[in-house]
Amino acid sequence: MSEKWSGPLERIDAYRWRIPESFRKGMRVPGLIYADEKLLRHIKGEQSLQQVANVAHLPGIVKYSLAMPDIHWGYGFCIGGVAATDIKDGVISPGGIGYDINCGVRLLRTNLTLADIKDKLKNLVESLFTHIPCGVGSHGQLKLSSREEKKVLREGAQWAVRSGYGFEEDIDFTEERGCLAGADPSKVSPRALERGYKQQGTLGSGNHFLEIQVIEEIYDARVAAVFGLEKGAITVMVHSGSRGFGYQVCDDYLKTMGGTVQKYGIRLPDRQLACAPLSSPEGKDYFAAMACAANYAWANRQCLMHGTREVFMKTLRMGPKDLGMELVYDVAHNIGKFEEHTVEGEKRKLFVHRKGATRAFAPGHAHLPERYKPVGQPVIIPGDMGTNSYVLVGTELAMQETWGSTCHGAGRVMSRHQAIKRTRGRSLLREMEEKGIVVRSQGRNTLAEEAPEAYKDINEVVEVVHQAGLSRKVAKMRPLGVIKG
Amino acid sequence: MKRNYEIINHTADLGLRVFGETREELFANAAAAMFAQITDLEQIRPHLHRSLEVEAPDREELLVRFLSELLYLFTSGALLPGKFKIKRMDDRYLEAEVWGEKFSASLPQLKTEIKAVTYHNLKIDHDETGWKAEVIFDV
Repeated sequence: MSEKWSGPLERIDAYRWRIPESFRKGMRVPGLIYADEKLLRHIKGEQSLQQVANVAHLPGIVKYSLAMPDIHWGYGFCIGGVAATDIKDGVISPGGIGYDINCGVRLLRTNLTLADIKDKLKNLVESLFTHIPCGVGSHGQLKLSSREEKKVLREGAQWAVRSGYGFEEDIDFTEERGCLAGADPSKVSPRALERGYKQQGTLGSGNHFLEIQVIEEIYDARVAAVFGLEKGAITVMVHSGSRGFGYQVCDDYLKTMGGTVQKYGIRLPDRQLACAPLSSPEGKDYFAAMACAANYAWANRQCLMHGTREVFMKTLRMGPKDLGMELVYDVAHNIGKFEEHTVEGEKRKLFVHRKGATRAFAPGHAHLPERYKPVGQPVIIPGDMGTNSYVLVGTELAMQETWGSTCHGAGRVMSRHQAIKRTRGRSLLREMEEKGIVVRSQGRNTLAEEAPEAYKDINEVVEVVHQAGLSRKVAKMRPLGVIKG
Repeated sequence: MKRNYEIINHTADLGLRVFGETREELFANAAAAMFAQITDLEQIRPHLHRSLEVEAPDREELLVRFLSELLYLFTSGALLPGKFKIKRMDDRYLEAEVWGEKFSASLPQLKTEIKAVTYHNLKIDHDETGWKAEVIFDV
């Protein structure tokens, strides 16, 4: 199944590669891939470039089918893909957002340094593992009534804060203020609601994690200071999404859109790209349901953050002021949104699909919190298990070239199955401990599936977006303790 | 016994190539192969029984809907199925019986979370030797 790429790929510069529109009949725009020669060697060995070309077939796609350097083979869209469609004649595609709608990351800063927690690290990890529900199909302590669940879907993180899980400031530092407008719970199936009511406030499994980190390096002191980050300080990263609720929403609407493709006479090279015109009833319904899932995820990460705050305060016997655990920013990396962008000098409203890509808005953008307007949006890039994570900042160039988007993480190079095979007989737990990282994990295979060599080198991926100018490096973190599902 | 499925390497996700002598067997084997990724099938006791019906516009979609239905049975907490039988089917309709038990802490540990059954590279073929399907899961 893994046919190698044999199509054309034109070098624009050291970090930009183009698949010309002429490659396949039906492509409406060219493909544009951000990568260096080294990353490209791997990318060419799988079907992800084929997928970039497939996405270029979507009706109403504007300018390019884009791929970030962490691109890897997904289903339908590649992971690391960005596509904007025109709101008048363009489409919305559930496959361009993914099953885990609003999977994303939030980064918390603290007043703590390594010395403050060194002796208590094991206790902290143990206590987080006990208090934060994680693992396959994990259920939370929160069981929502049907009325309450609908509030979550409409209000997102704002529901969580109003219900006592966090502070008003947390909302200011969440993308979209933690609530995507246009959510309509009546467009969500009873099944999605059933899967959602008991999973709020849970981490999940797979590559989701909660990690205690220390800031190892600062690249841009001015921007880091605005974000509240200093070398040697402790940070916490939360990586999770909309859980079973989001998977069900995606599933339901892929089913619907299998039919709309025929109804609206849309021709597609892959069934998983199923879509509907943004202006159609099916397209509008999907957006309203997808927004519910996005809000579910923002509420989820807000609840997870609240649980983390409580564990830190209790374990370290500190008050909230001394701890200073504040939200730096929360980003979504599987989402679709209506945004205004400049296309050939003209302001246009577009629908931007980001699947495994992060919004990276430039300084001065109206959607940024006041504090960050002078410097730009923080971009949170989680590393894979045992490796570095990064904070970047959005740039004007990203606004011009990628609809204000950048990479989302390392990107896999090995299937989960290969990773399990490759790591047989090794104790990943011990390897992590030897690096000084405390790990607690629920699932039997999770550690092996997420072994560091299953991923691209995060440092290389970040270097490409930095060099290409899609975002700039601000800080690098190193993991100290991690809980996984 | 001849292994009735194999794993397809897919970078992000999990792919299965499933075999069966008949269409009915192919569908039952696909269900068993999917749950074999989630947990140890042999350890699931067939205490509970469920019947289900699935409809779809074509054979490929029927497979996705059937597997999604089973995944839903599991994720909703109703039943972790371990044994599958297709009672009757054509290309757009099937009736199946499944046996399993309620998921609880005493059950074998779960290995992998399957988020969804995808339509990506979905294939069902047959020739004189039997039936073959390829399905990719989001994990």
